[in-house]
Amino acid sequence: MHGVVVVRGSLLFSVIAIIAIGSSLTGCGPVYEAGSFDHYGRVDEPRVRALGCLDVRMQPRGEGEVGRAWVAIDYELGNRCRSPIEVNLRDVWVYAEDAGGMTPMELHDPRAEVVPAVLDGEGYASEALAYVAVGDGLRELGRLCVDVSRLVPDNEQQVAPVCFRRDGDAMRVEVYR
Amino acid sequence: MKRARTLRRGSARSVDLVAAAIATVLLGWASTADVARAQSCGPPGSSSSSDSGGSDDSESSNSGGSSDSSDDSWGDDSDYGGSSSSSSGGGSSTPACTDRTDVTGFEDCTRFGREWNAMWPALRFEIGPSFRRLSLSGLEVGGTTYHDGNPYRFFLATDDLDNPSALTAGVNLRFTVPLFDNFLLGAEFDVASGNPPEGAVSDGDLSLRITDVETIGGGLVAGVVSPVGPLRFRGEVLAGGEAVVVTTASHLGDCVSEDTDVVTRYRLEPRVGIEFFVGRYVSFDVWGGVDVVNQGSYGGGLRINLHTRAYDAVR
Repeated sequence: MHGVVVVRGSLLFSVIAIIAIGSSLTGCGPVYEAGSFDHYGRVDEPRVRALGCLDVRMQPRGEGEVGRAWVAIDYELGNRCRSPIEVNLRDVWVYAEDAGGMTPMELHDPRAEVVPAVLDGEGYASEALAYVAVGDGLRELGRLCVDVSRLVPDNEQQVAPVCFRRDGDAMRVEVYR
Repeated sequence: MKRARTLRRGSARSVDLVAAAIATVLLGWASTADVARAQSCGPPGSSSSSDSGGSDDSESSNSGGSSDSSDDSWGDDSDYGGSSSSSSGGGSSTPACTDRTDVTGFEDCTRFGREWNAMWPALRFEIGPSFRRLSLSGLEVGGTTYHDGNPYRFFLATDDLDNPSALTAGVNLRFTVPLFDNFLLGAEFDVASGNPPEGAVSDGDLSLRITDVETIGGGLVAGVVSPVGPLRFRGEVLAGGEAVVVTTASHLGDCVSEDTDVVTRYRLEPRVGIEFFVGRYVSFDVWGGVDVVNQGSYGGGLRINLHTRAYDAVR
Protein backbone atom coordinates (compact mmCIF):
# COMPACT_ATOMS: atom_id res chain seq x y z
CA MET A 1 0.00 0.00 0.00
CA HIS A 2 2.82 2.35 0.71
CA GLY A 3 3.68 2.25 -2.94
CA VAL A 4 0.35 3.81 -3.79
CA VAL A 5 1.03 6.51 -1.26
CA VAL A 6 4.38 7.18 -2.84
CA VAL A 7 2.83 7.45 -6.26
CA ARG A 8 0.09 9.77 -5.13
CA GLY A 9 2.50 11.89 -3.16
CA SER A 10 4.91 12.07 -6.03
CA LEU A 11 2.26 13.07 -8.49
CA LEU A 12 0.81 15.64 -6.15
CA PHE A 13 4.25 17.08 -5.56
CA SER A 14 4.96 17.26 -9.23
CA VAL A 15 1.67 18.92 -10.07
CA ILE A 16 2.09 21.47 -7.32
CA ALA A 17 5.66 22.19 -8.36
CA ILE A 18 4.67 22.63 -11.97
CA ILE A 19 1.74 24.89 -11.25
CA ALA A 20 3.42 26.97 -8.57
CA ILE A 21 6.80 27.40 -10.14
CA GLY A 22 5.46 27.66 -13.62
CA SER A 23 2.88 30.28 -12.84
CA SER A 24 5.26 32.37 -10.81
CA LEU A 25 8.11 32.29 -13.26
CA THR A 26 6.19 32.74 -16.44
CA GLY A 27 5.10 36.05 -14.96
CA CYS A 28 8.65 37.32 -15.36
CA GLY A 29 8.19 37.09 -19.10
CA PRO A 30 10.45 38.65 -21.68
CA VAL A 31 12.12 41.69 -20.24
CA TYR A 32 12.86 43.57 -23.40
CA GLU A 33 10.41 43.71 -26.22
CA ALA A 34 11.64 44.79 -29.59
CA GLY A 35 10.71 48.35 -30.34
CA SER A 36 9.86 49.32 -26.80
CA PHE A 37 12.57 51.97 -26.84
CA ASP A 38 10.65 53.74 -29.55
CA HIS A 39 7.79 54.50 -27.24
CA TYR A 40 9.58 56.98 -25.07
CA GLY A 41 8.51 59.97 -26.98
CA ARG A 42 8.02 59.35 -30.59
CA VAL A 43 7.72 56.48 -32.96
CA ASP A 44 10.81 57.40 -34.91
CA GLU A 45 13.15 57.51 -31.93
CA PRO A 46 16.36 59.20 -33.05
CA ARG A 47 18.24 58.20 -29.92
CA VAL A 48 18.04 54.51 -30.70
CA ARG A 49 20.52 52.54 -32.74
CA ALA A 50 20.26 48.88 -33.67
CA LEU A 51 23.33 46.67 -33.80
CA GLY A 52 22.19 43.27 -34.89
CA CYS A 53 20.03 41.96 -32.08
CA LEU A 54 20.95 44.83 -29.79
CA ASP A 55 18.97 48.03 -29.47
CA VAL A 56 20.78 50.91 -27.83
CA ARG A 57 19.20 54.07 -26.56
CA MET A 58 21.32 56.88 -25.24
CA GLN A 59 20.71 60.24 -23.66
CA PRO A 60 23.05 62.74 -22.01
CA ARG A 61 22.09 63.48 -18.48
CA GLY A 62 21.85 67.02 -17.31
CA GLU A 63 22.09 68.83 -14.04
CA GLY A 64 25.83 68.44 -13.76
CA GLU A 65 25.31 65.38 -11.66
CA VAL A 66 28.88 64.22 -11.83
CA GLY A 67 30.54 67.55 -11.71
CA ARG A 68 31.72 70.40 -13.81
CA ALA A 69 32.93 69.69 -17.29
CA TRP A 70 31.76 66.13 -17.07
CA VAL A 71 29.17 64.48 -19.20
CA ALA A 72 27.00 61.64 -17.96
CA ILE A 73 25.23 59.55 -20.55
CA ASP A 74 22.43 57.11 -19.88
CA TYR A 75 22.57 53.97 -21.94
CA GLU A 76 19.74 51.51 -22.28
CA LEU A 77 20.40 48.19 -23.93
CA GLY A 78 17.78 45.75 -25.14
CA ASN A 79 18.40 42.34 -26.63
CA ARG A 80 15.80 41.48 -29.23
CA CYS A 81 17.02 37.91 -29.64
CA ARG A 82 17.17 34.84 -27.45
CA SER A 83 20.91 34.58 -27.82
CA PRO A 84 23.18 36.41 -25.41
CA ILE A 85 25.14 39.37 -26.71
CA GLU A 86 28.55 40.52 -25.62
CA VAL A 87 28.74 44.26 -25.27
CA ASN A 88 31.62 46.52 -24.40
CA LEU A 89 30.55 49.99 -23.37
CA ARG A 90 34.19 50.96 -23.12
CA ASP A 91 34.30 50.96 -26.91
CA VAL A 92 31.63 53.60 -27.33
CA TRP A 93 33.14 56.70 -28.86
CA VAL A 94 31.94 59.97 -27.42
CA TYR A 95 33.09 63.32 -28.68
CA ALA A 96 32.07 66.90 -28.21
CA GLU A 97 32.23 69.91 -30.38
CA ASP A 98 32.92 73.34 -29.01
CA ALA A 99 34.26 76.54 -30.35
CA GLY A 100 37.70 75.03 -30.67
CA GLY A 101 36.63 72.03 -32.68
CA MET A 102 36.06 68.37 -31.87
CA THR A 103 37.08 67.16 -28.43
CA PRO A 104 37.23 63.45 -27.62
CA MET A 105 35.61 62.47 -24.33
CA GLU A 106 37.29 59.91 -22.13
CA LEU A 107 35.37 57.40 -20.07
CA HIS A 108 35.67 58.01 -16.34
CA ASP A 109 36.21 54.58 -14.86
CA PRO A 110 38.53 54.85 -11.86
CA ARG A 111 37.85 51.31 -10.67
CA ALA A 112 38.04 49.73 -14.10
CA GLU A 113 34.50 48.47 -13.74
CA VAL A 114 33.46 48.90 -17.34
CA VAL A 115 34.46 45.63 -18.90
CA PRO A 116 33.02 43.47 -21.66
CA ALA A 117 29.71 42.14 -20.39
CA VAL A 118 27.02 39.76 -21.52
CA LEU A 119 23.39 40.69 -21.96
CA ASP A 120 21.27 37.56 -21.95
CA GLY A 121 18.53 36.81 -24.43
CA GLU A 122 15.67 39.31 -24.36
CA GLY A 123 17.48 41.08 -21.57
CA TYR A 124 17.39 44.72 -20.67
CA ALA A 125 20.15 46.79 -19.13
CA SER A 126 20.67 50.37 -18.18
CA GLU A 127 23.89 52.06 -17.20
CA ALA A 128 25.03 55.62 -16.76
CA LEU A 129 28.62 56.40 -17.68
CA ALA A 130 30.56 59.56 -17.13
CA TYR A 131 32.94 61.16 -19.60
CA VAL A 132 35.47 63.87 -19.21
CA ALA A 133 36.94 65.96 -21.95
CA VAL A 134 40.45 65.13 -22.96
CA GLY A 135 42.87 67.99 -22.62
CA ASP A 136 41.79 71.36 -21.32
CA GLY A 137 38.17 70.41 -20.95
CA LEU A 138 35.03 71.73 -22.49
CA ARG A 139 34.13 75.30 -23.12
CA GLU A 140 30.96 76.36 -24.76
CA LEU A 141 29.81 72.88 -25.52
CA GLY A 142 27.57 73.05 -28.50
CA ARG A 143 27.27 69.48 -29.70
CA LEU A 144 27.82 66.03 -28.30
CA CYS A 145 27.90 62.84 -30.36
CA VAL A 146 27.84 59.20 -29.34
CA ASP A 147 29.00 56.52 -31.73
CA VAL A 148 28.05 53.00 -30.67
CA SER A 149 29.24 51.19 -33.78
CA ARG A 150 31.85 49.26 -31.80
CA LEU A 151 29.64 48.52 -28.83
CA VAL A 152 29.13 44.93 -29.96
CA PRO A 153 32.53 43.38 -30.71
CA ASP A 154 31.10 40.92 -33.22
CA ASN A 155 29.20 43.57 -35.10
CA GLU A 156 30.63 44.83 -38.36
CA GLN A 157 27.75 47.15 -39.03
CA GLN A 158 28.55 50.85 -38.98
CA VAL A 159 25.78 53.01 -37.58
CA ALA A 160 25.47 56.74 -37.56
CA PRO A 161 26.34 58.50 -34.32
CA VAL A 162 23.59 60.02 -32.24
CA CYS A 163 24.24 63.70 -31.77
CA PHE A 164 22.80 66.19 -29.36
CA ARG A 165 23.06 69.93 -29.57
CA ARG A 166 22.72 72.50 -26.91
CA ASP A 167 19.60 74.61 -27.08
CA GLY A 168 19.71 77.02 -24.21
CA ASP A 169 19.82 74.94 -21.07
CA ALA A 170 18.54 71.85 -22.81
CA MET A 171 20.17 69.20 -24.94
CA ARG A 172 18.09 68.18 -27.88
CA VAL A 173 18.80 65.24 -30.06
CA GLU A 174 19.50 65.88 -33.66
CA VAL A 175 17.42 63.85 -36.01
CA TYR A 176 20.24 62.24 -37.84
CA ARG A 177 19.79 58.62 -38.66
CA MET B 1 17.36 63.27 -11.58
CA LYS B 2 13.83 62.22 -12.21
CA ARG B 3 14.77 60.62 -15.43
CA ALA B 4 17.52 58.72 -13.77
CA ARG B 5 15.08 57.33 -11.32
CA THR B 6 12.67 56.48 -14.05
CA LEU B 7 15.36 54.55 -15.81
CA ARG B 8 16.03 52.60 -12.69
CA ARG B 9 12.44 51.62 -12.56
CA GLY B 10 12.74 50.50 -16.09
CA SER B 11 15.71 48.39 -15.23
CA ALA B 12 13.69 46.73 -12.53
CA ARG B 13 11.83 45.02 -15.29
CA SER B 14 14.97 43.14 -16.05
CA VAL B 15 15.16 41.67 -12.61
CA ASP B 16 14.82 37.99 -12.97
CA LEU B 17 14.00 35.50 -10.32
CA VAL B 18 17.59 35.05 -9.31
CA ALA B 19 18.10 38.74 -8.96
CA ALA B 20 14.86 39.03 -7.04
CA ALA B 21 15.98 36.37 -4.62
CA ILE B 22 19.33 38.04 -4.23
CA ALA B 23 17.65 41.38 -3.73
CA THR B 24 15.40 39.90 -1.07
CA VAL B 25 18.37 38.53 0.77
CA LEU B 26 20.25 41.79 0.41
CA LEU B 27 17.29 43.81 1.62
CA GLY B 28 16.99 41.61 4.64
CA TRP B 29 20.69 41.94 5.22
CA ALA B 30 20.66 45.65 4.66
CA SER B 31 17.86 46.15 7.14
CA THR B 32 20.06 44.74 9.83
CA ALA B 33 23.18 46.60 8.77
CA ASP B 34 24.75 48.75 11.42
CA VAL B 35 25.67 52.37 11.17
CA ALA B 36 29.34 51.63 10.69
CA ARG B 37 28.57 49.71 7.54
CA ALA B 38 26.46 52.51 6.16
CA GLN B 39 29.19 55.01 6.83
CA SER B 40 31.67 52.83 5.09
CA CYS B 41 29.66 53.20 1.92
CA GLY B 42 30.28 56.89 1.64
CA PRO B 43 33.26 58.18 -0.29
CA PRO B 44 36.26 59.58 1.54
CA GLY B 45 35.22 62.85 3.02
CA SER B 46 31.62 62.28 2.13
CA SER B 47 29.19 64.79 3.36
CA SER B 48 27.06 64.54 6.40
CA SER B 49 23.33 64.34 6.61
CA SER B 50 23.01 67.97 5.64
CA ASP B 51 24.69 67.17 2.34
CA SER B 52 22.36 64.32 1.75
CA GLY B 53 19.54 66.66 2.28
CA GLY B 54 20.95 68.94 -0.30
CA SER B 55 21.06 66.12 -2.74
CA ASP B 56 17.49 65.29 -2.08
CA ASP B 57 16.51 68.86 -2.57
CA SER B 58 18.28 68.88 -5.87
CA GLU B 59 16.46 65.81 -6.96
CA SER B 60 13.17 67.23 -5.84
CA SER B 61 13.68 70.43 -7.69
CA ASN B 62 14.52 68.57 -10.85
CA SER B 63 11.78 66.06 -10.56
CA GLY B 64 9.35 68.48 -12.00
CA GLY B 65 11.13 68.52 -15.29
CA SER B 66 9.87 67.09 -18.45
CA SER B 67 9.97 63.34 -18.68
CA ASP B 68 10.80 63.66 -22.32
CA SER B 69 14.49 63.27 -22.03
CA SER B 70 15.17 64.85 -25.36
CA ASP B 71 14.81 68.15 -23.60
CA ASP B 72 17.06 67.46 -20.69
CA SER B 73 18.92 70.40 -19.33
CA TRP B 74 22.65 70.52 -19.49
CA GLY B 75 23.64 72.07 -16.24
CA ASP B 76 27.37 71.90 -15.82
CA ASP B 77 27.99 74.17 -12.91
CA SER B 78 26.98 71.95 -10.05
CA ASP B 79 29.96 70.20 -8.66
CA TYR B 80 29.11 67.30 -6.48
CA GLY B 81 30.57 64.15 -7.76
CA GLY B 82 30.63 61.09 -5.63
CA SER B 83 28.10 59.58 -3.40
CA SER B 84 27.21 59.42 0.18
CA SER B 85 25.31 57.21 2.50
CA SER B 86 21.86 58.08 3.63
CA SER B 87 22.94 58.22 7.20
CA SER B 88 20.60 60.32 9.26
CA GLY B 89 23.08 60.64 12.02
CA GLY B 90 20.79 59.04 14.54
CA GLY B 91 21.95 56.03 16.43
CA SER B 92 18.58 54.36 16.45
CA SER B 93 18.07 54.08 12.71
CA THR B 94 19.56 51.41 10.52
CA PRO B 95 20.40 53.16 7.26
CA ALA B 96 21.26 51.15 4.20
CA CYS B 97 23.97 51.94 1.76
CA THR B 98 22.58 54.19 -0.90
CA ASP B 99 24.32 56.03 -3.68
CA ARG B 100 23.54 59.62 -4.45
CA THR B 101 24.09 58.92 -8.10
CA ASP B 102 23.88 55.88 -10.29
CA VAL B 103 26.69 56.97 -12.58
CA THR B 104 29.37 54.33 -12.84
CA GLY B 105 32.57 55.46 -11.21
CA PHE B 106 30.72 57.58 -8.68
CA GLU B 107 28.85 54.74 -7.05
CA ASP B 108 29.98 52.98 -3.93
CA CYS B 109 27.13 50.60 -3.28
CA THR B 110 26.72 49.09 -6.71
CA ARG B 111 28.95 47.96 -9.49
CA PHE B 112 28.75 48.23 -13.22
CA GLY B 113 26.60 45.50 -14.72
CA ARG B 114 25.61 43.98 -11.42
CA GLU B 115 21.98 43.75 -12.43
CA TRP B 116 22.38 42.40 -15.88
CA ASN B 117 25.87 41.15 -16.71
CA ALA B 118 25.25 37.43 -17.09
CA MET B 119 28.59 35.90 -16.18
CA TRP B 120 27.28 32.92 -14.26
CA PRO B 121 27.19 29.46 -15.85
CA ALA B 122 24.17 27.97 -17.54
CA LEU B 123 22.63 25.25 -15.41
CA ARG B 124 19.30 23.51 -15.53
CA PHE B 125 17.23 21.98 -12.78
CA GLU B 126 14.50 19.75 -14.09
CA ILE B 127 11.69 17.99 -12.28
CA GLY B 128 8.44 16.36 -13.26
CA PRO B 129 6.28 13.28 -13.22
CA SER B 130 7.37 10.21 -15.10
CA PHE B 131 5.46 7.16 -16.20
CA ARG B 132 6.88 3.85 -17.20
CA ARG B 133 6.06 0.38 -18.29
CA LEU B 134 8.61 -1.57 -16.31
CA SER B 135 9.62 -4.96 -17.58
CA LEU B 136 10.18 -7.46 -14.79
CA SER B 137 11.22 -10.20 -17.15
CA GLY B 138 14.20 -12.17 -15.99
CA LEU B 139 13.92 -11.20 -12.36
CA GLU B 140 14.18 -13.89 -9.73
CA VAL B 141 13.19 -13.31 -6.15
CA GLY B 142 13.16 -15.74 -3.29
CA GLY B 143 14.23 -16.47 0.22
CA THR B 144 12.73 -17.77 3.38
CA THR B 145 9.29 -16.87 4.62
CA TYR B 146 7.42 -17.96 7.70
CA HIS B 147 3.94 -19.27 8.15
CA ASP B 148 2.71 -20.12 11.64
CA GLY B 149 6.29 -19.94 12.78
CA ASN B 150 7.53 -22.47 10.31
CA PRO B 151 10.15 -21.50 7.71
CA TYR B 152 9.43 -22.03 4.04
CA ARG B 153 11.86 -21.41 1.24
CA PHE B 154 10.31 -19.87 -1.85
CA PHE B 155 11.43 -18.91 -5.32
CA LEU B 156 9.62 -16.79 -7.87
CA ALA B 157 10.80 -16.32 -11.42
CA THR B 158 8.87 -13.42 -12.88
CA ASP B 159 8.88 -15.05 -16.29
CA ASP B 160 6.41 -17.54 -14.85
CA LEU B 161 3.87 -14.74 -14.59
CA ASP B 162 1.47 -14.17 -17.45
CA ASN B 163 2.59 -10.59 -17.91
CA PRO B 164 5.83 -9.83 -16.05
CA SER B 165 5.59 -6.06 -16.15
CA ALA B 166 4.40 -3.19 -14.03
CA LEU B 167 3.10 0.28 -14.72
CA THR B 168 4.86 2.80 -12.54
CA ALA B 169 4.55 6.50 -11.88
CA GLY B 170 6.93 8.67 -10.00
CA VAL B 171 9.12 11.71 -9.96
CA ASN B 172 12.06 12.37 -12.20
CA LEU B 173 14.57 15.07 -11.41
CA ARG B 174 17.94 15.99 -12.77
CA PHE B 175 20.61 18.64 -13.12
CA THR B 176 22.00 19.26 -16.56
CA VAL B 177 24.55 21.58 -18.07
CA PRO B 178 24.23 22.88 -21.63
CA LEU B 179 27.50 22.51 -23.47
CA PHE B 180 28.65 24.12 -26.70
CA ASP B 181 25.13 25.28 -27.55
CA ASN B 182 24.00 21.91 -28.87
CA PHE B 183 24.93 19.39 -26.20
CA LEU B 184 23.92 18.65 -22.66
CA LEU B 185 25.37 16.61 -19.86
CA GLY B 186 23.90 15.86 -16.49
CA ALA B 187 22.85 13.52 -13.75
CA GLU B 188 19.38 12.12 -13.24
CA PHE B 189 17.48 10.50 -10.43
CA ASP B 190 14.00 9.07 -10.25
CA VAL B 191 11.76 7.17 -7.89
CA ALA B 192 8.59 5.41 -8.90
CA SER B 193 6.04 2.96 -7.72
CA GLY B 194 3.24 1.19 -9.45
CA ASN B 195 0.78 -1.54 -10.04
CA PRO B 196 2.24 -5.04 -9.67
CA PRO B 197 1.75 -7.68 -12.31
CA GLU B 198 -1.32 -9.77 -11.98
CA GLY B 199 -1.32 -13.51 -11.52
CA ALA B 200 0.18 -15.98 -9.10
CA VAL B 201 2.55 -18.90 -9.28
CA SER B 202 2.77 -21.95 -7.09
CA ASP B 203 5.89 -23.07 -5.33
CA GLY B 204 5.13 -26.25 -3.47
CA ASP B 205 2.43 -25.51 -0.92
CA LEU B 206 2.90 -21.77 -1.35
CA SER B 207 1.01 -19.51 -3.68
CA LEU B 208 3.19 -16.54 -4.62
CA ARG B 209 1.98 -13.16 -5.84
CA ILE B 210 3.84 -9.89 -6.39
CA THR B 211 2.03 -7.17 -4.45
CA ASP B 212 4.22 -4.13 -4.90
CA VAL B 213 6.91 -2.85 -7.26
CA GLU B 214 9.02 0.23 -6.67
CA THR B 215 12.09 1.52 -8.45
CA ILE B 216 14.88 3.87 -7.56
CA GLY B 217 17.14 4.72 -10.42
CA GLY B 218 19.55 7.20 -11.85
CA GLY B 219 22.56 7.76 -13.97
CA LEU B 220 24.33 10.10 -16.29
CA VAL B 221 22.61 11.61 -19.25
CA ALA B 222 24.18 13.06 -22.38
CA GLY B 223 22.46 14.40 -25.43
CA VAL B 224 22.25 16.72 -28.36
CA VAL B 225 19.86 19.60 -28.76
CA SER B 226 18.60 21.10 -31.97
CA PRO B 227 16.47 24.26 -31.95
CA VAL B 228 13.73 24.39 -34.54
CA GLY B 229 11.78 27.60 -34.28
CA PRO B 230 10.51 28.05 -30.75
CA LEU B 231 11.04 24.36 -29.96
CA ARG B 232 14.12 22.41 -29.06
CA PHE B 233 14.33 18.82 -30.10
CA ARG B 234 16.53 16.66 -27.99
CA GLY B 235 18.08 13.26 -28.36
CA GLU B 236 19.83 11.79 -25.37
CA VAL B 237 20.94 8.64 -23.67
CA LEU B 238 20.62 7.77 -20.01
CA ALA B 239 23.23 5.34 -18.77
CA GLY B 240 22.89 4.14 -15.22
CA GLY B 241 21.13 1.64 -13.12
CA GLU B 242 18.09 0.99 -11.06
CA ALA B 243 17.03 -0.93 -8.03
CA VAL B 244 13.75 -2.76 -8.39
CA VAL B 245 12.09 -3.37 -5.06
CA VAL B 246 9.68 -6.31 -5.33
CA THR B 247 7.33 -7.25 -2.53
CA THR B 248 6.10 -10.83 -2.74
CA ALA B 249 3.18 -12.24 -0.78
CA SER B 250 3.17 -15.93 -0.08
CA HIS B 251 -0.10 -17.61 0.76
CA LEU B 252 -0.36 -20.79 2.73
CA GLY B 253 -3.98 -21.43 3.48
CA ASP B 254 -5.28 -18.34 5.23
CA CYS B 255 -1.80 -17.30 6.29
CA VAL B 256 -0.22 -14.51 4.24
CA SER B 257 3.37 -13.42 4.62
CA GLU B 258 5.23 -10.73 2.70
CA ASP B 259 8.90 -10.53 1.79
CA THR B 260 10.79 -7.77 0.00
CA ASP B 261 13.64 -8.32 -2.44
CA VAL B 262 15.83 -5.75 -4.12
CA VAL B 263 17.15 -6.49 -7.58
CA THR B 264 19.65 -4.17 -9.20
CA ARG B 265 20.26 -3.94 -12.88
CA TYR B 266 21.75 -1.65 -15.49
CA ARG B 267 19.72 0.73 -17.52
CA LEU B 268 20.51 2.23 -20.91
CA GLU B 269 17.76 4.34 -22.30
CA PRO B 270 17.85 6.34 -25.54
CA ARG B 271 15.29 9.10 -25.46
CA VAL B 272 13.80 11.89 -27.47
CA GLY B 273 12.23 15.03 -26.15
CA ILE B 274 10.74 18.34 -27.13
CA GLU B 275 11.27 21.43 -25.06
CA PHE B 276 9.57 24.78 -25.24
CA PHE B 277 10.22 27.90 -23.21
CA VAL B 278 7.41 29.66 -21.42
CA GLY B 279 9.67 32.37 -20.05
CA ARG B 280 13.30 33.39 -20.21
CA TYR B 281 14.19 31.04 -17.40
CA VAL B 282 11.46 28.42 -17.51
CA SER B 283 10.70 25.71 -20.00
CA PHE B 284 8.65 22.57 -20.20
CA ASP B 285 9.52 19.42 -22.02
CA VAL B 286 7.97 16.11 -22.83
CA TRP B 287 10.13 13.09 -23.32
CA GLY B 288 10.03 9.40 -23.97
CA GLY B 289 12.52 6.58 -24.16
CA VAL B 290 13.08 2.87 -24.40
CA ASP B 291 15.33 0.83 -22.14
CA VAL B 292 17.47 -1.29 -24.44
CA VAL B 293 18.99 -3.34 -21.63
CA ASN B 294 15.73 -4.37 -20.02
CA GLN B 295 13.73 -4.99 -23.11
CA GLY B 296 10.09 -4.22 -22.74
CA SER B 297 10.70 -1.24 -20.47
CA TYR B 298 9.78 2.12 -21.84
CA GLY B 299 8.44 5.34 -20.48
CA GLY B 300 8.14 9.07 -20.64
CA GLY B 301 7.15 12.12 -18.75
CA LEU B 302 6.81 15.84 -18.43
CA ARG B 303 9.28 18.18 -16.81
CA ILE B 304 9.49 21.76 -15.76
CA ASN B 305 12.97 23.12 -16.27
CA LEU B 306 14.45 26.04 -14.41
CA HIS B 307 17.39 27.76 -16.07
CA THR B 308 20.06 29.96 -14.55
CA ARG B 309 20.63 31.69 -17.89
CA ALA B 310 17.99 32.95 -20.27
CA TYR B 311 17.35 30.31 -22.90
CA ASP B 312 20.43 28.48 -21.64
CA ALA B 313 22.57 31.20 -23.20
CA VAL B 314 22.59 29.27 -26.44
CA ARG B 315 24.04 31.30 -29.24
